[in-house]
Amino acid sequence: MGAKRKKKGESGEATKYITRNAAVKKLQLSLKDFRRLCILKGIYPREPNHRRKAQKGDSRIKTLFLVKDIRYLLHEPIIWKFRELRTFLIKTSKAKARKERDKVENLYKNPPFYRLDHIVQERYPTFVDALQDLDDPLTLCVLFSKMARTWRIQDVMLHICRRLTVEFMHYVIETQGLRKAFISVKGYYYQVEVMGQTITWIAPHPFTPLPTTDVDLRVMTVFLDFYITLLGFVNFRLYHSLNIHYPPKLQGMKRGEEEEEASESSIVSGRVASLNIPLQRNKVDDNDEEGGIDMHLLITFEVVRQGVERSPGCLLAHGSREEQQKKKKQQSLFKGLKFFLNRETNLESLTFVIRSCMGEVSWQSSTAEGSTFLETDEAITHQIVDRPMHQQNYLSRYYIQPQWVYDCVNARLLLPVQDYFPGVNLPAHLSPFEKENDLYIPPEKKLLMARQKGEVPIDLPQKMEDSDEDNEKEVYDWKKMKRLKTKEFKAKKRAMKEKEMENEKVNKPMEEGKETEEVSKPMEEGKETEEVSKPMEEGKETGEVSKPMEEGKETGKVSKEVSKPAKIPLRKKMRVIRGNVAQPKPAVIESQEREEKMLAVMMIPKKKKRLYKILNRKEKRQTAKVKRLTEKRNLLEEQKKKDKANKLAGSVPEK
Amino acid sequence: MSEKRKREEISDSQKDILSGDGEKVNYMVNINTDDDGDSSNSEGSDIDDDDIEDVSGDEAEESDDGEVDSLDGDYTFDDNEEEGEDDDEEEEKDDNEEREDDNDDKNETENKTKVKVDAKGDGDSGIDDPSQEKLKISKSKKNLSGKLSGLRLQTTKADNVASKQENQNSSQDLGKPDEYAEDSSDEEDLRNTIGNVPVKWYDEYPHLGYDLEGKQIIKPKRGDTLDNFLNRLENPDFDRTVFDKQTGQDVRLSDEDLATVKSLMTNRVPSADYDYYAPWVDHFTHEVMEMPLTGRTESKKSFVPPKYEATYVAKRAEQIRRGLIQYTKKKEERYRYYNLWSDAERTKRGISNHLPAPKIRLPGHGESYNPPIEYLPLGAEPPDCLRRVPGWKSFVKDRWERCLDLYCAPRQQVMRVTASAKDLIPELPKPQDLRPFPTVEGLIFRGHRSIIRSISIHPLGKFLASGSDDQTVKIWEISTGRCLRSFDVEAAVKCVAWNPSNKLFLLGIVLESKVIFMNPETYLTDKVVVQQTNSVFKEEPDQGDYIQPERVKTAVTWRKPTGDEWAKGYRVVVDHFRSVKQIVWHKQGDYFATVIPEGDHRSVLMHQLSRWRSQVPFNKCKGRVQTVQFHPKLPFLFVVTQGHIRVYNLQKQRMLKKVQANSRWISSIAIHPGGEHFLIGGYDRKLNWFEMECTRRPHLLRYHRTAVRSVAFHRKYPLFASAADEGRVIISHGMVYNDWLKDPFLVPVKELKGHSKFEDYCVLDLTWHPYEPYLFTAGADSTIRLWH
Repeated sequence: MGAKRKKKGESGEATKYITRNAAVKKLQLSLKDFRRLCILKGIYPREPNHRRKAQKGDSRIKTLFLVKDIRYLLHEPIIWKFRELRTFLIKTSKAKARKERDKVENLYKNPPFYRLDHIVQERYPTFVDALQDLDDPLTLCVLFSKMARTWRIQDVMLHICRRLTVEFMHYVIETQGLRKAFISVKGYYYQVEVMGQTITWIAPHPFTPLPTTDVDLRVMTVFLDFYITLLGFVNFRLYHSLNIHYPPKLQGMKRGEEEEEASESSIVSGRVASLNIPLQRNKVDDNDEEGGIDMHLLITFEVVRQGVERSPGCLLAHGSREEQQKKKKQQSLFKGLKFFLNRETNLESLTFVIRSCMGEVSWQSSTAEGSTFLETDEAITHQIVDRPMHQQNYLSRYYIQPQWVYDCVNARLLLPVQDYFPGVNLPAHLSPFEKENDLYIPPEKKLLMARQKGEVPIDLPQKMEDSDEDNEKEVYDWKKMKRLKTKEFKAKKRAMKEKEMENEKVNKPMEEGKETEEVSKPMEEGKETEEVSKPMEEGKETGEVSKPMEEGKETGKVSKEVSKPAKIPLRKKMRVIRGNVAQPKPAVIESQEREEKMLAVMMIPKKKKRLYKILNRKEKRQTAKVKRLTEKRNLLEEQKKKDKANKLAGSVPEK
Repeated sequence: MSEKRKREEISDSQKDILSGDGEKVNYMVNINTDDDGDSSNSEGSDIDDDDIEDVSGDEAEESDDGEVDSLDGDYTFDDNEEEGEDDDEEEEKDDNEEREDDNDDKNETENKTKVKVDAKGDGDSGIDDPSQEKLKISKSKKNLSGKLSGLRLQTTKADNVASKQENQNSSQDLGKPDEYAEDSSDEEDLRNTIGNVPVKWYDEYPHLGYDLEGKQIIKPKRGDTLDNFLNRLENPDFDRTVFDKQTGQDVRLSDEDLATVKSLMTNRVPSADYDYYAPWVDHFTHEVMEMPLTGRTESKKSFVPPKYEATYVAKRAEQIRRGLIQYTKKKEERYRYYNLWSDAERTKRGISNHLPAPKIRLPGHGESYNPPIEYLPLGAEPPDCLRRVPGWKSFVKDRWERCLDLYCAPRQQVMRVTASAKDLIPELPKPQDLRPFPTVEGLIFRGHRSIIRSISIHPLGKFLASGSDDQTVKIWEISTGRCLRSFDVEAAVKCVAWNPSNKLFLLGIVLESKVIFMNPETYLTDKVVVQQTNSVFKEEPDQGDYIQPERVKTAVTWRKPTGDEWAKGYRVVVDHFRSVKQIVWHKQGDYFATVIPEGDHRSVLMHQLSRWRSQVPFNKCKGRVQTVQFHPKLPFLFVVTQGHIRVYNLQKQRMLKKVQANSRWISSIAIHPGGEHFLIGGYDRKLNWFEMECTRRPHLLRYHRTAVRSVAFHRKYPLFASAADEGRVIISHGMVYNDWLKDPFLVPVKELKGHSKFEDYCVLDLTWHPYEPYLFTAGADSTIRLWH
């Protein structure tokens, strides 16, 4: 008898997964509808732990879904809507073919559509879940809000996208939630903090993004459909949390006024305009901004934090007092500053960034709607300019390039404006997303960090003080030489070695002498020995240095110094000399260490060996990258200096 | 067909008229047929028949002429009479021909194909065939029906017509218009006196009917062809003159008639005075008359809505009231927002084991629009202002790819490794703490001229013996590296092994199928031992009553060396039946084992040196024996085949255990001096450390990148070495503990390189010094190296 034999494919991995085709068959849908359903319901294929087992012996790569997920899809009411849509399509196409116009019109009067409210709730059971997953919705909505209308992209969708994104940006402005803003080649990256969740999205540069032929807009519109629903609900909730009416009312603007004028251009300009107009509040806010966190409590957090500091992503670190203060500072970074934007700047982005740091913004009324004050206003502190300015009309304000705004937000302090004057070569725009513990830190970043810590006065412009970087340059000097003039360098090294050998030869007899003397006269007084030993010690030190010596100059120096103690035995004075412990050559030590490491690597168990290899490769790549970057930087800087010197040399005779 | 034909005829007739041809009869007939709608069809069919007959030949056509002629009168029974006619035709043929000849000049013979025209011309031109006519008449009489009256047998009032001119004709027409007005029948007035009979009945007579007095009305005289011709030239009205068959007269067509003919030919209404553009009379006018035609009052019915309508309206009204029909239906908004997450109750996420998608990768410094200079490609300049930054072309594509990733890419939870590579390297004790072990190359023993297959160290550690492919065995002094002696042997030396006993100075060497024991005495060796060795092998041992089994006898032969061989140093020679690979000594020095890989069941042989006896311990051999080894302490023998190690107890003569090696092809085995562990090197690059008890899995040491050739344990120090084809010899520290539960401590301590490669071989054999931490390696580059 015995226990019942287990059959293959009846339990475990094999029953957990279902292939895509099987799933489609089970749901009785077309592949197109299945895809749409997957997108809307957030179902995605899974990678099995053991593919062959999951596919019941088939080792070809197939798309696998969890059986549970598919079962969960079975009772989705939206499937019926899909079927309705299908019948609708059939009906209309039939009517069209028969040229029954009335019928077609009648059908189009009431086409079937589906709502995704319940799906949003299913996919994001809590509001925080929705916030955590808001990156993609925002990015896609922002993209569509800037796209041109085509037959594939419905007008309604574009309008809603525009409305929703602007609403979200309004919320960020209201809460001063912007944390980071970065201009990359791809577009504008914004990172905001909403209810403790960081959300990042990308806005394209201010050109109409064009879809290429290989882009399937149908798929994107399905995504967009869901994202619009999600973003609308999120906005609703966010506005209600602020006690603001949703859809928002702008101060001094009647509602409905906006909606009536729906022409393309007016919407675009209205979008920017609306960002510059504060929202109407339902009530007068009586609670201050301080209301949130009691600062004195944070001190205790900080104590706790010290223990947990190393663990990344720790919530406590988030709420530390310093961080909180910095945040606050960032939120009111542009408070009291008045900005005037020239028409060539990206109004929308700048308005968003400046206003979410409590600055005031305006532009020429001819550029776009929504300007709040005139260019002639003497209270303007900064005018943002993105083209060469020949004359600066107002002395009361700084004319600066737009990068300053973004850099200030990222640095969380007002950077010296001198670096950003129009026509000036801009300092590099650094990414705020780069981790601080990264291996390579560009010098600009180092300077910024120093500024943030207060080591460098903030007012000092970047170009004035290069002293920081000088030290580093010296360190890199020899590397550069190596790269540039390897041959020369090798020759030098050879020469150095020869010299070293000579030195050793010189040293050796001396040491022997020492020993003999030591033996012969051990009973000497301390004073004299100390005196005499001093130069010897020097010699020793230099000798030590000479071994890992890297520069020709030093060798010369050493050889001179060494020659001095060589004369000592001639003095014929009684002395005791401290002996030298024979140090193995560094090359030998190095090779030995290398070998030891190699042997140790051999002892890594087989399980971890692959991982080790991967990690090792990765680290090597990283170090190589760092090396490459530093070398390149130095080379370029050298070149710059040379150019400068050449210019100066060239300019002198002219004068 | 008939229509077409008609048109043809008309055109023909027109042609005739224009050309002024004499066939006026023809013309007349045509007009008649045109007028007669009934007959047109049947006539057409007749014509069809004609056509068919055309094909048959001219003669048939000719013969038909008469028939066609008679068309006007008796075409209705034509079909019925066909057979008879055919007969007639035959009869008529001759006459017809004759007449044809006569008529040739009169008719245009070139028009033969235009059957009808010619034929009629023939018929009408007074060429009579009385016999034919007679027959026809007799036949037609039978079938004459009431229809006859309807036929237009136009006979002229012979007398009148003959004398009267055409003008008179026309005046007659004008004179009785009322007659036509009343009588709508298509019967024409007959102006001849013959009545309604075919004219051809009179064809054979000179007269045509009778006058009131009963006198014959003589047919008007028709001129001959010449007259006709002259007439054509002289008479200006010739082209509008038509021959009237009924009266036998020429009729001049009036202008009206001509107009009628013309309008007919152009498919117009025949009457010339028909007004095409008459004013429109709106008979059934839509205009409401002021005064109704009838004075009746409207019925009540016209005011009261019908009942069915009332029920329909009531029904719709009820539906509307109930809300089934909504005329003011508001279009539903597609997106309607409200507080979705209002209730605090957390619902479960529908998808099981949700793996959130990874976030979008955030950009680094390098992706900045104005990056630090080191991130830019060499020579590239960053844009000097933000205004100049172009749009990112593939922005939409990037987003699309992200969408694709979100719904298409399979997701899997992967643990992210935060460790660095350094953390994975195990912490090993410093090699310095594990000293002594050989670290550097001490001596190189040069002298061989070919691959050195095997080396062996004398148990006292003074001498080194080596056997090479250059057919020499050399004895070296270890302390100096001198070659003390060199023996030339007959073949390449496969294996050398010193006798482990102190009392003998004996070296076993393997030459193909021979195993030779020699005394390689040198001036440095202990004389006593040498002498003792020589004396032992001077004489053959007494075998007594021992009889060698057959199995052994065929395999091994012991013999004393010959004189020459003795001088060479040979003391005993053991011949085997096949080539021997290896010789292994038991630790006491009396027993030894030889391995014959191709020996099948006799591949392992045990020998006793003192008694010159051999033994085949195994009846069966499973697999090709690679090597054998004696246990260092117990009477066990390790037999190593390709994939297994079998341990036999020699005393009890049974197998102790069989170990499956963790290797596909074992190359060598070394047994730990403690006897509890052994090491196996394989051609598959693996080195395995086994425990005798085999309670645990072997320790797999992946030191080498190529096949492991040989492994060896040091007798005293916890060291072992392994050599592989890549040229590396790896010295490892292998500490064994008395506590069985504790794993041995294995650490590689040194990698030795020095031997060069020769034909993919490098280090072929290695041995440890018996008591010093020295390692000897024999290489394919014909050197032996000492590492200390």
